[in-house]
Amino acid sequence: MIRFPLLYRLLQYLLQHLPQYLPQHLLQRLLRRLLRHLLHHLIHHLIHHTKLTRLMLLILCGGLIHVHPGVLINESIAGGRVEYRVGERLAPTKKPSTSAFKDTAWDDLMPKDWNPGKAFNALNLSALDDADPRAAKALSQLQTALDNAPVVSALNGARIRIPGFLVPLENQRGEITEFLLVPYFGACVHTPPPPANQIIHVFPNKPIKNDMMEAVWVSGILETTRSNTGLGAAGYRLKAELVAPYQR
Amino acid sequence: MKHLIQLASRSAWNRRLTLGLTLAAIAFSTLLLLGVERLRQDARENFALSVSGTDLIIGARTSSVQLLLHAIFHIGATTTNMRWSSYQELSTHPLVAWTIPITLGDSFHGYPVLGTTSAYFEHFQYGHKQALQFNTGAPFKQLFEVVLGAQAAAQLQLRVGAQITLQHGSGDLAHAEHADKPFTVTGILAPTGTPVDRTIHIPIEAIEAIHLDWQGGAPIPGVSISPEHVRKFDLTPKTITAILVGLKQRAAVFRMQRWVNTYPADALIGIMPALALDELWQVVSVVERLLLAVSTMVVIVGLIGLLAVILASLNERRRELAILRSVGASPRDLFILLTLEGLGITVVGALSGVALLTLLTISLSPWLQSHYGLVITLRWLNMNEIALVIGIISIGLLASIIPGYRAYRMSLADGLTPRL
Repeated sequence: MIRFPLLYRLLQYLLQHLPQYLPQHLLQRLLRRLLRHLLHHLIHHLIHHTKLTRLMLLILCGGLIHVHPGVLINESIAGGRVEYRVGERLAPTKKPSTSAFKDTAWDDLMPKDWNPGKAFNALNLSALDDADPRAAKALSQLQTALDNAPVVSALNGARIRIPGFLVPLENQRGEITEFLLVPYFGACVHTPPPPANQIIHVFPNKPIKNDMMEAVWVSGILETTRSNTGLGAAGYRLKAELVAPYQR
Repeated sequence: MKHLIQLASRSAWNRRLTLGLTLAAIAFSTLLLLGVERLRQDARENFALSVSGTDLIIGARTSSVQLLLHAIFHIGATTTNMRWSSYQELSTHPLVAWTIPITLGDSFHGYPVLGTTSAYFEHFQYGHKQALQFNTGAPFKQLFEVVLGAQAAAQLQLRVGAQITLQHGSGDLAHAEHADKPFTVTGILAPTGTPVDRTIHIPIEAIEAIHLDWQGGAPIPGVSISPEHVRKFDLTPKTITAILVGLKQRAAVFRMQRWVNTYPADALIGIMPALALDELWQVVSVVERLLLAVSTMVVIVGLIGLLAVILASLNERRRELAILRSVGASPRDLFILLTLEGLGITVVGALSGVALLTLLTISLSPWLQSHYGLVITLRWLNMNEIALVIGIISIGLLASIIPGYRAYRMSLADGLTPRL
């Protein structure tokens, strides 16, 4: 009987350290099976071979210890659908592209000398109050800089391959004929919008099926567009020849 | 093999009553499964085709799905309206290419009334960026003129030049009418397959005009302003329900949405229609999956019925099987015979289900279109549906193997003389 609490403690230790080495779903299944097996053993032993008071005490302890590993098991991977967190970016690929399209990072779409945050450099943010007008002024300057973000004109006509999150614009008969590509998840809803040189307006040459494909690889010819609005900001357009789902 | 098929069909024809009933059960369950799938897909397509080319829909702050349903599909209601001054500032924003203001709230015999400007007929698009076309007539120019959607005009049997009076609120009540201000029909739109077909369009100033002598949803007693005097008042609206916006650069939609959501003078929300539709489907997807599961269950019930009928008849057919054995059929032949029978019923049942689906589509689609605005098209089975039918037939095949196997064992045990 003494060996059971020890075994549970060993299990907890394993749970904390093994997840790094085993695939998560296998681990979950293994652990659930193990826990169930041990629990049955324990109950059988307790019911048939223990005095009443010791039995009640042990059930109490066992119950508490059993809840703890259950809480540790991570339930976040559901089915096959990958969940992205807000603000998450896509990791660069391990295998580089072998086709005519050059792998491009989102940082390459911003000019190297562009620094929208330079209004903040002059301020000592930790010394400022939240309601300080200098902070508010710097924030609005940042917003204006982001709105007027310049594009890298050298990329006009470049054949690129870039991963990103898909925001549909035209979605008829289950097919998307026009969409926006953004660098991070959740850019479409709640977080501040990405600057104009971090959004690509994509026209796929074949309509793509809308089966909740969120992260995609897009390959095609990039164009830079001149701004025709008084509010500055040019943008990027891409005629996509290939749109493929992004695998983690 | 051919003689076995002939034998199986003759034998089945002999028991046509019971087998006919199971065939009907399989046909109806197939109809249910395919019909549910088709309705689901058609409903989705219809919804998605209703709005196109619009970058943002802006209205008083509410949930994005609610605003989409109200502004585009005229389902439900919004809690409050947005200010006209917000519309004015928005229409002069440098990023905006065009705006269409809309006001909802009145109705005409159950058809929603939409107050808008001529920009609606210029910029509104549906389907694959198709603009609105007129069947007869032209857009409104004067105050008390109205443009009808195709379905509304056909159902109410109105032509260009007819006069109508509108009602207050969104019901079909006979009172609360704006009877003193009749409207003249100037145009009827071509059918679009979207909620536009069921909408009555009037100038946005006309909404103000007919409510001038009203207060809080009812006419002020003792006050009545005639249509001629109404034009002397300032009829610029103070509040509107929503604005449809097209931008000069589609990629600027996030910035515009942010500007709208943080607009200090009014509580507004800007939604992207495609994303709001996706949200709606997420909510509805649970029900869809449930419907699919129920339909599959019904198909399985139908096939179990088939199995039960064939197994029940097996005992009576022992003599028949013995006769077949005596004329030279091997036990394997009997196995094939029974399996063929079950499989044949399943195949004929599934195909009858498909035929029933076609029949129902032809007969019900006009009614569905006029009452719900739902357009069901007659078309061949797509890959998904063919896969479903093949699935039903294969489960039927597996089920038919059971009586086949029993016949095989029975005929082996009975030999050529059954012990009854």
